[in-house]
This record gives sequence, C-alpha cells and structure tokens, in this order.
Amino acid sequence: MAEDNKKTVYTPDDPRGLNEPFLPVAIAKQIDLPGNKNVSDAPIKVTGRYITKEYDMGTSRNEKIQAILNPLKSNKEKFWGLKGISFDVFEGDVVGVIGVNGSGKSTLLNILSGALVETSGRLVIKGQTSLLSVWDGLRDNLTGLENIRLKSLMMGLSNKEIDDQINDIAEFSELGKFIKQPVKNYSSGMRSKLGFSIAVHQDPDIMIIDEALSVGDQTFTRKALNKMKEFKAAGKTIFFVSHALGQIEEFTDKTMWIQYGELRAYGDTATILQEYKDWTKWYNQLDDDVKKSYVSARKQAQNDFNRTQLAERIAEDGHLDNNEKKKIVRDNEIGGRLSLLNWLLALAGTGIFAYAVYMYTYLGR
Amino acid sequence: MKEIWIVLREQIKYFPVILRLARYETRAKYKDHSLGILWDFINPVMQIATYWLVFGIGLRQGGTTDGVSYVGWLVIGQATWLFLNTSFMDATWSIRANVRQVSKMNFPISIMPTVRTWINVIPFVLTLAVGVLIAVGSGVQLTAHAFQFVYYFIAMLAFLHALGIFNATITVMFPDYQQLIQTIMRFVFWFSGAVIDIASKLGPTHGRIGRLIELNPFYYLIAGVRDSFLSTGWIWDHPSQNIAFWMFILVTLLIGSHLHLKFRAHFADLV
Repeated sequence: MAEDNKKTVYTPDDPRGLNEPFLPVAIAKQIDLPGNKNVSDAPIKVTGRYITKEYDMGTSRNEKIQAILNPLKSNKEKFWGLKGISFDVFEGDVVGVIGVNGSGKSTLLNILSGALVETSGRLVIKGQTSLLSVWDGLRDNLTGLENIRLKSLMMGLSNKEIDDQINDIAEFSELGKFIKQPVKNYSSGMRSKLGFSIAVHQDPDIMIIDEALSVGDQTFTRKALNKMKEFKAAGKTIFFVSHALGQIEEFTDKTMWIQYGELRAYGDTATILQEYKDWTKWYNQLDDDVKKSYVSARKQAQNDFNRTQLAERIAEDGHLDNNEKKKIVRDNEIGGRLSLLNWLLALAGTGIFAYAVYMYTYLGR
Repeated sequence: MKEIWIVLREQIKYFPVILRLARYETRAKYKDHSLGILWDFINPVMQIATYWLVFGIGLRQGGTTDGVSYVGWLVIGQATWLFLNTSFMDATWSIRANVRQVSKMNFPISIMPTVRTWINVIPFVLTLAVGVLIAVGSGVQLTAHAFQFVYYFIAMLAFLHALGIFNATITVMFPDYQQLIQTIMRFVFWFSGAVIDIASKLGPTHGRIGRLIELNPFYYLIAGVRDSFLSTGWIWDHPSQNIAFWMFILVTLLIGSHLHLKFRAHFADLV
C-alpha cells in the first residue's frame, strides 16, 4: 500500500507533468517580473516583500494559541497559504488577481485589507483600504437602508455625512422597494448589489474587490464596471479578484497569477491571461489521476514549506541588502512581553491591593 | 503604562463613533418589537418588582435598610447592578462576536466593549431616576452627597473599561472563559449588595467576612451610588476600600491592555 501511495505523488521530473507551461518564477526573482515596473512614474501605493501566511492545521484552540506565541517550537502540521509573495503596486493601477480556487487569492486580499496579519514579510500600504466582499458585514435582520447606515457608521462616517449620501447609495443599488426589506429576504444578486453600492460610496484610496461582481446580473455588472472605471480615471488603486476572465481582461491593466501560495506571474493583463488560459488548457487535458497527484504534490509542498526554505530563497534576492533580508526572514512580532517597569507596576499594584484588603478586613479602616 | 494609554487614547479618539454605534445598536435591537426601547425599561422594572415581592414583603426585609425604605434602596441598587452586570457580560463577548466584521472597518476593535457600556447608559439613568424618585417620595432628602455620583459614575466607566478589555480579550482566546464568568456572576450577584445587604446580615460576629465581601468592586460601586443618593456616607469614609478598588482597576487594566495589544492582530485567526 505504501508503495502505491508513493507512486501517485507527483514530482517535478515526473514525465506526466514535464510539459507544464510557465512554471512559477523563483521566489527571489518576483521583483523582476514586468508587473513591478513603474511605467507611468506614479507614486507607489502598496509594497509587499516576501509576504507569507502560515496557517496552523492544529485543531484545538490551545494549539493555535501556542502556535501564535511560539511559532518555531510548535510541531503541529502547517499549511503555508502564501509562500513569500513580492510585488509593487502603483497609484492608479488596476490589478487583476487570478488563480484556481484555494490558491491564496483570498488570503492575500484579507492581508491587504487588514483582516488577517501576515506571518512574515513586509507590507507597506499608503492609504486606506476597503474590502468589498458580498457576504461581509450585512446583518440579516436589518433592512437594506439600515445596513447602509450601519456599514457607513462602521466606516467612521458621521450621521450627517450618511444622510447626505444614503439616497445615492439606495438609488445606485437599484433595489427599489426592497431597500426597506430585511436583508434576509434578499437574493444573492441583491446582496451583492447592496454591498457593492455601499462600498463604492465610501471613497477609499485602495479598493479590494473580491468576486463581488460575479453574482450580479449583466446590467448591474455593466453599471458597476462603469463605476469602477470612474474610480480608475480618478487615479484610485484597485485590486480585482474574479474568475470571470472577461471582466479581468476588460477592466484591469495588470494581472497577478497566484497559484498554490506562489506568485506565478505578474505583468500586463493580456500576456498573463494568455498564460493562464494555456495553463488551464494544459491542466484540463491531463488524465484525472495525474491531475489528482499534481494537485496533492503542490498542496504537500505548501505543507512542507518552512522558514529555512524561505530564508534560502530570500538569500538569493538581488534587490535587498543583507540587513533587510535578515529583517524580512524573521516573523513579524507578536507584540512585546510585558516590560520590566510594567511588571513592577503590576506587582506594586497587587501589593498595595493586598495591603488595602488587609487594612479593611482586619482593621475596618 | 504605555499600553494603558494607547488603548485609552483609542477610546477617546473614537468616542463619537462609540456613541453612534451604541445608538444604532439600541435602535436595531428592538427593531421588530412594537414597544421598542420601552422593553429596556419594562424588563428591569419587572425584575425589581420580583425582588421587592420576595425580599421586601415575603421575607419581611421591608421597613428600613440603612435607615431608608427598602423599595428606594432596592431600586437604586438594582439599577446600578443591572447596568454593571449587563455591560460587563456584553463586553465579554463583544470582540469575539464582531471580530470578522470589525477588523475590516476603520476603527480599532478595542472600542467594542465600550460600545456595549454606552448602549446601557440610558436605561441605567432612567431606572436610577425612578429609584431616586421613589426614595425621595419616601422621605429621603437629597443632599450634597449626590455630587459623589459623578465620582462613582467615572469609577463605573473605569471598571467596565478595564474589565471589558481584559475579559473580551481572554474570551477570544478561551471561549470557556465567558461561561465561567457567567457562572461567577450569578454568585457575585448575591454578594453585590444589590438586593440584600449581606454584610450587615452576617452581623458583628462575622465582621471580617462581611468586610471582605464589601471589597468586591460591584459592592463598592453599588454602595457608592446608594451613598450618593441616600446620603449615607462619603467617599473618604473608607480609604482602604477606595485604594483596593483602584489598585484592582490598575492591575486589570495593565494586563488587559497588554494582552489586547499583543493579540489583537491575531484575533481573526483565533475565532
């Protein structure tokens, strides 16, 4: 049995997969990818260097906490959602993000929006990001209008600012009378319309759109795309994730292709889409068992990835000096320990507390 | 020390957001109810009425407590207890329940416990006012003692902030903690002096145990609010009690703020 299992594991020199087109670039060469060139001399908006995300596959909560506290010691199974992704994005860039399901797209977007923290690497974002995801932040028992208000409040708008734009948002959403119905009665298309309408009225510098447009109908998608073109014309930076390659092609200038936690390609949309289509074609013509072993080998590589491998790869980088390399290899800090002064303060506080308790209980003062 | 200040500064900076969210939550909470916000008033009144029936009439505690009629004493204490207990318990799950939503929003998650406190402020003020009216109706004179309420209100906010940050952070990491707190609070209720003054019931023979009970922060705050409106004592009558209370706040706040800042970036991974 063990013998059989071994056979199904895919190795890079397995003849069945040898012809895979466009193997991912070496991790240290990502910064040389054409997508990182600043063609129009625009100010830089987002810089990512060797961003990783390690997920702990330990199921129990204690294991998770241990993993956060002491990532090096924990022996539990790991999964690297991102294996060190580097890229530059400039003001006015509209970046498409493509890749098969489970490739790490959502992880990257969540890190960009601040919902998750990267495990290691450096991420510099200049400006406010806003993540538009259809299923997020809408409360089922509130009506559309109330959800608009709540979400705007959460964005930090004042009541007056909300009053000023609430009608615009409601109108843009095309929900008509349904805007006064609880969101639980909405179809997925209606939710998407509402979510999108709220998000585009928040006016963030950097917009992150996560497959939001794929559920709306054609007419609304058109309208939304037009709205986003306005943003593009206004020089906003947009990340756009979609499986609809047509939308990516029409709307974005650059595209990142992320696969199995690696940045496979980053460059102008037409080229990357062609590569992606070629790759998909190649993949689809594989036999089922080859597909299976190919995917499981890639997933296994994400399991087996470790900090040593990361450090080795970063060491090959020609753009960073040694100091920076050292910094980037290290995990991002989990906040410091309690400082000595604070320990003393806590101890003194506890001491005074105990004395006061004694004074009151025994002496009644 | 720096940690305390960082978290506190967030509360101050985002105070308008806190109030707006609190107002909105209140409106959203009773959205499907025809009586709406009135329920925030009816519920405590019914609860207080129950205690009055049991302890005021049933167990003949009636007559006077601290020299004033039991009903006024009970309503003031119960109003304070309900405010503290509700805010305290709500704060405990506030971060856990909202972490996914809030981490994408434009404010720090540390304000979520505070939002829960401010949601309960208006019902508290209303019930407290009823209690004071009842007390005045039964012959209590409001004196300069009443100004002490300002101090005790600040003390309540400090208590709820410190414990809110601490409990909410721990609950994200260990959900069992919330159940534990819930169990403890059922117990604390009877020692908080909200419905019976257990310390004086113990009598002079168990003076020390009585005073030990009086040191719990809930008792301190409830007794303080009563002192303010029933003119039964001054803040400086019991210096050690004050010191114990504030030292407890300081240490909790220090550890709570530290843990909160240390782990908050990872909350989304833990829930």
